[in-house]
Amino acid sequence: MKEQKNIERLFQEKFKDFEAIPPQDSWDNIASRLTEKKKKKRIIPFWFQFSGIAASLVIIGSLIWNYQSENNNSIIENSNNIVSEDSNEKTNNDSFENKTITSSESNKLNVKTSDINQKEKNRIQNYSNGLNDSKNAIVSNSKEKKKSNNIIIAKHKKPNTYLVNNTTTNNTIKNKRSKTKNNNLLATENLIQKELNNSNGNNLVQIQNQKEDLIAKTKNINSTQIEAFFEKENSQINYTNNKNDSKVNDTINTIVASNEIIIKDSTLVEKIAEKTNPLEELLAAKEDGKNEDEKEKEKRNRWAISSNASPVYFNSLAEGSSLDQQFDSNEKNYATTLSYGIGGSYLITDKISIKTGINNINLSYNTNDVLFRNSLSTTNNNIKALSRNENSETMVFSAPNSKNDIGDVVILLSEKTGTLKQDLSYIEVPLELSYKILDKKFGIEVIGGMSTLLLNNNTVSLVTDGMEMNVGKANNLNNIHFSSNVGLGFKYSFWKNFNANFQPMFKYQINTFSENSGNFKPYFIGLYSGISFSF
Amino acid sequence: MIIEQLIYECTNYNTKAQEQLYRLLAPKLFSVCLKYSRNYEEAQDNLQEGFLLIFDKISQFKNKGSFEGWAKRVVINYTLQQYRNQNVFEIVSENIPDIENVEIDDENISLDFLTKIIQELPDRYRLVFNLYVIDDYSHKEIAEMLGINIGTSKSNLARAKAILKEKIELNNNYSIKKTK
Repeated sequence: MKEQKNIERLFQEKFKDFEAIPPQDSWDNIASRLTEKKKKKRIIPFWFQFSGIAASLVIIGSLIWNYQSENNNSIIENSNNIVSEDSNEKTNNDSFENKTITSSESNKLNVKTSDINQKEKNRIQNYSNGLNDSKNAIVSNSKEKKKSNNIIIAKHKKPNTYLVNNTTTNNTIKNKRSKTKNNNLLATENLIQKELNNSNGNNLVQIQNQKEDLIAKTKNINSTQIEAFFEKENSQINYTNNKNDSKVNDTINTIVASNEIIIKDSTLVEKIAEKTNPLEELLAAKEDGKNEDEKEKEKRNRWAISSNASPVYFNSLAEGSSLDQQFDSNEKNYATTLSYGIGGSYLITDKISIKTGINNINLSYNTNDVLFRNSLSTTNNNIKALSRNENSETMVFSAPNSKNDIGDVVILLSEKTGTLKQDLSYIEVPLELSYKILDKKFGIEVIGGMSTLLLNNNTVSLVTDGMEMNVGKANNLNNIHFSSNVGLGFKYSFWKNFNANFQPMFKYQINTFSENSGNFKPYFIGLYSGISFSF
Repeated sequence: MIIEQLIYECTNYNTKAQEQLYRLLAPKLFSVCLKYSRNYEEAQDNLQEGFLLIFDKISQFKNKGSFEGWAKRVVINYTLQQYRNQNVFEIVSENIPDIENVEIDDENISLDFLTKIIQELPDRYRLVFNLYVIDDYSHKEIAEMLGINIGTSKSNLARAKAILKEKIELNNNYSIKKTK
């Protein structure tokens, strides 16, 4: 049967419900390619997540370190206290001195093997405390291998009681320590080290091997330890400083006790090794794709950390002067300064995120054409908002149009023109909400919020003829003030979880001045740019 | 399983969900590939690459419109990439007779045959013909997608139709002869 047909219609009709079953091997090909991709995809973010956390901990840790470096000393003090609770102080001191020698010595001796039967029992007595030292060295060795940062244990020698205590209540002690600032630092270091371990030993097998190696090594050390220790005696190294002889009288008891401790040591090492288990489980769970939390995370990266730096354009909405009303009409110029800091954000919904951070911000502005002169004696302060220091006690400042003493020729001659420069520096803690308008590779968001600004530097200096002299500080600044912030955020995600950000922000300062602020309404504009990493 | 659920699982790289989605869409998309590709083997390749792209970009699907339509566009775009840079010997000035109708014997025209003659078209003609006639794109859109101008798209379409008509008529004659 023949008919005339439009060629387009012919094809349209024929192909309308056209379906074709693809060859069977198509899916197999796709599936194998998908698993390849999946592996690549998953391993990389996993690494970066942890390195990101590690990096932020390093930053925080180093900040704390800088601010609290003096606390290092007190760490040692603390640990001495712990030790002395349980120990004979003399022993403690002696062994502390010998610490380095013993630990290195015991390392050497571990390698050697000799017959324990040859040992004389009475000598054991003399060196029982030294044995403890060596044993401590094991602890420090094994910890070193684990990269655990328990400085206190490694640094201090203790009698048996403390060690036993240590093995059983290690965690408790740690908890106690964490209550003090100093030990926060330690904890942070431990964390960092753990993270490093994590990334180093990302390979599950590697971790397992390390662990087994470690345990095996420790056991090895333990078994050779006693022999090695007495070998040490033969090698004529003098450890007899210790004055703890009276404490251990029975040789057999000593050996039994040390064996016990050594066993406990090995359980300690096992305990430490076991700490990596949660990570392994996490890894395994990830591999199986069963970990719900991880799935959640992969779905959307809710957290982000960022760094930023910005030029800051400081200005005032009104023509006032914060120093004194007499300078209201003086020309002012505002320096462009720098703000920098770090921040974090959390995605509340798909569109809205909350962000905070900590920034350092410097502001500076000059009041030009200020007349000043030096008088011979201390004069009355004629700038209300300036607390003068010893440099400027004899100085009189005035605005060019307020020459009350114009009749005084001497004054007129001695007057010079300079610039009063006010430098302020703040720690800024913003709290902002942002709403995403566009969220693709390139994104736009609207940001609004407020900042708390903590004053940390406040100087007024006089600049004239290229010289700068500190003349005091402003006394009308609040230590804490707030600003209201609005701005736009632009981001470009150039790689996976990494975004480049650019955020022009307008920040209007609300209660900068406690009083006498004249008609000075400061604000600043920052062009914050930086990089953020989401995880 | 509801398609939304399936898509969500796919964004989490759930292999089972991916396979289900494949089973669901493969027949439709393979027919697309067959029409846009030169032959069966290339159609299979394009299908596989297209699906990998779909799974890769699935998080970009925003639940606007049908998922099938989205997936089809991904596959079409992929095949276009494969073939659009192949140059066709252009005969722009030639006047192509605008005869749209062709005499056919319905029973003698199989889908296989039509697929075959589409595949035999030069790359550009095939793409333009498919986009315009079967998938309803306008000449303007086609011109943008292929990076050619609208006139070229129109003339390519006319050439494609002329070639197809010729082949169908040849086939008719052949089958007529055969039946005699």
